[in-house]
Amino acid sequence: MAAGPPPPSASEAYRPNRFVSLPAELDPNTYDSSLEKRAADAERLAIRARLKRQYQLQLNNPNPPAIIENPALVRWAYARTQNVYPTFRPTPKTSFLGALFAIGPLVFWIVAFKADRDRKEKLIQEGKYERPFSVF
Amino acid sequence: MLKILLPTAMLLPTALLSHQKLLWTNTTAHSLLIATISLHWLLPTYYPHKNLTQWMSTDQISSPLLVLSCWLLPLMLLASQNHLQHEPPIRKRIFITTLITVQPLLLLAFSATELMLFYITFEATLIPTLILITRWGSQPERLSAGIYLLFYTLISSLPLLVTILYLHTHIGTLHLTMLKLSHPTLTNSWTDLLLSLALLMAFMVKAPLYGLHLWLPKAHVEAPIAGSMLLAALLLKLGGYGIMRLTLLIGPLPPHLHYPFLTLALWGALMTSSICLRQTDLKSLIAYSSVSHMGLVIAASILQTHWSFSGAMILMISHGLTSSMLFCLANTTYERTHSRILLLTRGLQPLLPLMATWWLLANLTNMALPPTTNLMAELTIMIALFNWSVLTIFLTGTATLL
Repeated sequence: MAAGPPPPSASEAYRPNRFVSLPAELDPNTYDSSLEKRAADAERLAIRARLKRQYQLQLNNPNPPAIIENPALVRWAYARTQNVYPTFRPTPKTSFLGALFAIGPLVFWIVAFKADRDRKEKLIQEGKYERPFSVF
Repeated sequence: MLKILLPTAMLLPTALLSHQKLLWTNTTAHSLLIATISLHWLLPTYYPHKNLTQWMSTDQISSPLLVLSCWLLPLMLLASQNHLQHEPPIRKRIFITTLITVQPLLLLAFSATELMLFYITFEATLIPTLILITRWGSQPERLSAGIYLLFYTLISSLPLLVTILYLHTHIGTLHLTMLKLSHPTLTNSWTDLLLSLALLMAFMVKAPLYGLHLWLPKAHVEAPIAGSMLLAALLLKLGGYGIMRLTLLIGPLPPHLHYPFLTLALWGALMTSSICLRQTDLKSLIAYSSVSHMGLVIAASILQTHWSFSGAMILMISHGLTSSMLFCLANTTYERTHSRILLLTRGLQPLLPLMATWWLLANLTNMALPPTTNLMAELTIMIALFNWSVLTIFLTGTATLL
């Protein structure tokens, strides 16, 4: 037997290059994955299979419901639209963020407009502002 | 004027007394006829106020809005037929009656020459809208939506009432022509600042301005389709119209007022456009884009130049038509898929190709695509703002992009 480090395994020897991508059999993420990963995969597949079965049951029901809804989607939509304020609490972080992003830009733009118009007004007062030609 | 008002008032008995089989056809057909007759208001004139009676007149600011309000009634009736199919006939009649009551009130509001008449009809249009939203909306959140709508508008319009009464005692008249002739009474004192603020706030809430717009998405989402169309097309315009009328009273706004309002309006247009990108509910997306467009209108109305007023007018009309179209489309989507979640509209084009086409057109006009009037309006307002200050182009440009 040859001494020293073992020869590289197939997945180590064959790396993807410009012409060939890594096939799934040689990718350690998809092949020969650990037991925990495979168990998690199986669980996810079981959940998806249950959902698909529910959908098929409702679809092929002789008295079908008017709409086959996905309760997870409904919960998600509710959380995004109607549950925002009830779950809000003013904390130092949120009040700081609110002041920064809500009032900050307004103050910034007010100051910017005022400075710009004052500059123009000063130029007009001193007679240096050339009125652009009016089309009317 | 009377040939429009009397038929509009007579639509009420038409709705209440028509035979059940002819209810929708009667009301829709007659309101279409009224809409056609109302087009004569658009004839150009050099009189400052045309069709003059003592209390009502039309001029170039109010006549497009009057025609728009006449045009929307048949559209609202058409759009509401589906969701009212299964209601008992008496409820259908009451719904149609509520819709029809808004019409004469709006006509009075837009053509009023007395500020007091304008105020009364302005508030009176709230009541049928409230009834529409709280009684005929479909989610339980419609109660909170109705409360938001009612109290936002009422709280901001109470100072308006007080100010109008004060102006009446001070100047002696509230007739718009007389007010134009009377000497401007406002100085730069704090009292007069508060006076102008009180006058404007009601319309800022109605229009709505960015900081005070909370009632709008709620009201739009919870309202039935006719209510949404009504709100979007007409009631928002009441706000813009009020601002345009009142700024003649206040004259050039003091800088303490016009800087905050302009900045709020422009920044708000930008902000609400970006909020649109994060919306889940289709109707609230359209509601937020309404706020954005009306923000531009408010900015233009505060500016008080010729170009900005024309731009604001054109934007109000085109936005009224476009928003109503968008809400109708959202409603047909909802009727067909029973959901308003935006994600679910993916893949509708092979299924419902004609509706997808209308969606495309409506979205394009909302984005101010070239030959539509929306583009003319946006460009005019942007140019007027640019004239005011060079920096506004950043805000308006980004808002247009969004």
